[in-house]
Amino acid sequence: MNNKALSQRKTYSLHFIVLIALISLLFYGCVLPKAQMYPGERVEDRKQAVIRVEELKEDFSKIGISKVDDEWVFKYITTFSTSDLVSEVYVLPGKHRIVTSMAIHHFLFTSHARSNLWLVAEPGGKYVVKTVLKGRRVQMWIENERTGKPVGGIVGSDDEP
Amino acid sequence: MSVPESQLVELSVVMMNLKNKNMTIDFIIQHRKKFYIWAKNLLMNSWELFNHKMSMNGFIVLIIIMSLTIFGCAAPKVKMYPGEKVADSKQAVIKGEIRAKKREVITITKVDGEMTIDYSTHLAGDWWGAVEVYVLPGKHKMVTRTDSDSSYAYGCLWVVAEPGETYIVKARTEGYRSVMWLENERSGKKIGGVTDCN
Repeated sequence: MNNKALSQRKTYSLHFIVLIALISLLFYGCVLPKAQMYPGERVEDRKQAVIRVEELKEDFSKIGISKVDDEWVFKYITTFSTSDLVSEVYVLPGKHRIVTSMAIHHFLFTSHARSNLWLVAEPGGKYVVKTVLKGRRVQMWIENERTGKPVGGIVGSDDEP
Repeated sequence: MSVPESQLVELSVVMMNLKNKNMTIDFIIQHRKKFYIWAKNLLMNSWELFNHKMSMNGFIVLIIIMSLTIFGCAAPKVKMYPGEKVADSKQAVIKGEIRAKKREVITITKVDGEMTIDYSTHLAGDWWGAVEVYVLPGKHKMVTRTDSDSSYAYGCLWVVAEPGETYIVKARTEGYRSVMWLENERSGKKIGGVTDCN
């Protein structure tokens, strides 16, 4: 094989590696999108509430919001995304039901968990969905970011408004 | 021959519901009559199939599926003392409350450190404990579990059981916290208390 052919082959290999890396990034490395869960133009921050999901420290894990008030969030994603989950949602003040989904990829299998939570969002409020893994158990709850206190509860709880 | 195609569709619906025991309980409570008619029709149709077309293997598979469907949803009731079952007046019953509206079921997973159900019962109906246990009079410690749509919680309670009495494990969830207690079914009064889970 002459030098020119060898160099051309090396270039092709490099292009192939870059392409694979880009595709991998698209599928796995991208940050989850955000979604506005009400119709019309986005309102001012003080007139809406933000609910975000705290990322897990575990490797190969994915956590996000999949439903708000029984509506799939992927319908509201405006940017390009390969995921059906979002990391942050913008909602109008009032009571909302949030479904969060979590997946941890192991060597041969994937573990899944889902939480069904409610909260009464206040205008300008910022909330974060927290997750703690305890062995095979997963605890998820919503915290008010400003006060650091849990808000809302589990869907179906006796104090759900 | 009446082809039980519609029955097969119904079967798949029930099997889907079986994946979630709360849904199954809900389903049975609300559609008990429909369920009996469906089971009767399925039995008759499967007998007809067996007589006419179905191979022995097919019939066995159908029977296994039916058994899983019927016994998978049977809520486990367990006697927690050795020997023969004693008269109702000489034993006490501890039940878990079923709140069908909230799709919440309370089960008793352990009594005096002993598991109430085995692994096969757990697998058959996705049960985590018994809905009813029979104990001899005296003090008993139990681990209870409340299961709702996507969450669960454990509680550890004690009771001094009296002969002939029935006790119900009740739960109330507030926010992210579940509180469980025991009530005497007859008087409606709270009884016993909480204990450590060891």
